[in-house]
Amino acid sequence: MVLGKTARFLLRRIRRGGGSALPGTIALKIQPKLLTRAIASAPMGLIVVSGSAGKSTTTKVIVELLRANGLEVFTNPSTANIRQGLYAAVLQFGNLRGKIKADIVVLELDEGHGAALISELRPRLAVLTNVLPDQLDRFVDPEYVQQKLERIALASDQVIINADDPNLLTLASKREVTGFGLGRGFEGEHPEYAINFQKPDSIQKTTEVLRTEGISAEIASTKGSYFVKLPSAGTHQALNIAAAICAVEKTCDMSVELVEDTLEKLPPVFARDEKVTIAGREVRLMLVQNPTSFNLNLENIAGDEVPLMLMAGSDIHDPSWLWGVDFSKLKRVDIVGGLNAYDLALVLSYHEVEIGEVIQNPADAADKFLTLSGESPTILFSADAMRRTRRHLGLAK
Amino acid sequence: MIKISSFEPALFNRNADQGNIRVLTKQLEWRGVSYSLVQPFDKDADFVLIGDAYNAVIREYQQELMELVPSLQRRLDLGLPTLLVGSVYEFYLEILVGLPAASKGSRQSEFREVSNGEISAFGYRNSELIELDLFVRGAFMGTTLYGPVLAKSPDLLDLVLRSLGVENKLPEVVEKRLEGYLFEVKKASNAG
Repeated sequence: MVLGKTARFLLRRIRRGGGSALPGTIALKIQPKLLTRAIASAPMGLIVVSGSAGKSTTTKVIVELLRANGLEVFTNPSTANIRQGLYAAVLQFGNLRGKIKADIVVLELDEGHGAALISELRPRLAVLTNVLPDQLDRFVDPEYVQQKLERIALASDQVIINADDPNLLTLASKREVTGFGLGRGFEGEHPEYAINFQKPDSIQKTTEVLRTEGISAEIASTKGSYFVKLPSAGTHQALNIAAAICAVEKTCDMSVELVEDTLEKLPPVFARDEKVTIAGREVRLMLVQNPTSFNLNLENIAGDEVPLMLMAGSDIHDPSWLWGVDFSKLKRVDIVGGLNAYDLALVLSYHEVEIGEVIQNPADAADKFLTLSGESPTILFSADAMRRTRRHLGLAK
Repeated sequence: MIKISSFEPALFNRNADQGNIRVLTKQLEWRGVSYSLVQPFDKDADFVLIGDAYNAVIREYQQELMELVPSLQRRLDLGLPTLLVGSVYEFYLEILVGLPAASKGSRQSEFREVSNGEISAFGYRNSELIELDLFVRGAFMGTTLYGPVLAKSPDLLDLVLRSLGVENKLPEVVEKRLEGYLFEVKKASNAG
C-alpha cells in the first residue's frame, strides 16, 4: 500500500489528473489480493455493473442512491474499470493496511477484465446492462462479450439483466435472474442490441420504463412508480436508471421519494453530456465510445453548433467503426482532433462535411478550439481525447 | 448505369464494411458517373460487396451464402468486380475454387499494408488467418482488411473503377484532400 500510494502521489505531482494505471499495476504485482481483501472489509459485500454501455451511469446512480440512503459506499471513479484501475482505486481510498471504510462496494467492471476477475470477487449482485457491437478490435464479436457477461452472472449471487436484450435474456434459462427494461406500451426509441437470432422466452420485468419525455421518465417497479430526472435525454438513460433502481431495491429499503429527490440532484455523469465553463464560455462536452453512442450524441445536437470539434483519440485502436456513424446531419466541423483525427477526417470527407482544420495533438486542438468564436461551442470526443483535453483545460477531477 | 449491390447490408457490416459502398458511390458522384444501388441483392450487379458479419449472422445465413456459391464462382473465374471482407472471405476460402486454402494461427489484430506484388492494400485486420490478407484475381477481391478497405487502398479502388469502365478523374481538390488524409492515416497507424 505504501509503495503504491507513494507512486500515485508522485505521478499526480507530475501530471494533474493522471496516476491511475501505473500505481495500480505496482499494487497488483506486490499484493494481488489487495482488491479482494478491500472488498471483504465491506460488510454488505459487492455489487458489480458490467455490459457494453451504460456502466458508468448505472454505477454512479447506484452509488448515489445508496449514499443518500445512509450507506458508506466504496466505488471506482470515472472510467477506472479495468483491473489496474480497480487496484488504483483501493490505493487512493484505502488505508495503509488496504482496508476501505465502506458498508458496501459498487464497482463498474470492464466486460473483459470483469470476466477475468470475477471468480476472485464473488459479488452479491451483478447488474448487466446490454451487449452492443462495441470494441470489436478487442472483443472481435459481441458473442464473446455475451460469454464474458455470462461468466460474471454465473459467479454472482443475484443477477439483474436488461430483459429486452436477447443476448442477456438467454441467461434466464441458466440461472435465476431479475429483469428490467421497457414497459410493454413504451413509445419512443428502442435501443438496438447486438444481433442475436435466438428467441429466448421473455421474463417478467420487475422494473420497467413506462415513458420518457426529455430528461424525465416514469419508471414502475413492484414498489411503485418513480417520476425521475435523467442524467440526459434518451431511452438508454432511462434504462440505466431503471437498472439502478432495481439494484437498490434488491439491496436496501429506500423510499420512492428519496430516490426521486436524489436523482433530481444528480450531476451529469463525467462528460457523457456535460456543460462546463471554460475561459468564461459554456462548452458542451459529449463522450463518444462506439457507433451507438456517437450516433446517439449526434441525435442530441442540432448539427449546426459553432464552433464544433470532433476528436478521435488513441483509445480507438481500430477506427473502422467511425464508418458506422451517420455524420450526414453535419455541414461543417471546425476542428477534427486526436491521434485518429485523419481517419475521422477521411470519413467526414466521404459524408461531404466541410472541415476547418485537422489537429492531431489534443492540447493544440483544444487551444485552437478556444480561439474560435461561436454561440454553441461543442466537443464530441472519445475517452482518450476527453482525458487529454480535460487535463489540458484544467478540468481533470 | 453502373449497378452496385451489397448482400444484406444491415447485417453484413460488422466492422462498418458498408462504408465501402459509401466510398464507391461518392467516388462515382465526384467523377460525374451515374450509378444505382440495387436491393434486394443482385448477384449479377456490376459491383458486388459481401461485408464482414457477426458470428451469429454467418451461422444464420449459412444456407444463403452457400446458394451464392455458383454466382461467386463465376465472378471469381471471370475476375468481375467483387469484394468479400473478413468473416465472409474466410467462409468462402474453403469453398470457392481458386481462393487459397485457409491457414490459421493465433489472432493478430493490427494495421497492415499488404501487397500481392502489383496491388497493395491497407487496413486493420483482426483475424486468425495467416498470410491471406489480400486475394486479387482480375477485379475479384477478398481481404481480411477493414477500414473500409476501398477508402484506404487507392490501388483497390482504382482496380474497381477501371473494371467498371470509369475513366473520369476526381476533381483535383478532392483528390489532394483524400490523398493528404490517407497519408496521415497511415503515418498514425502502426503500419505507418
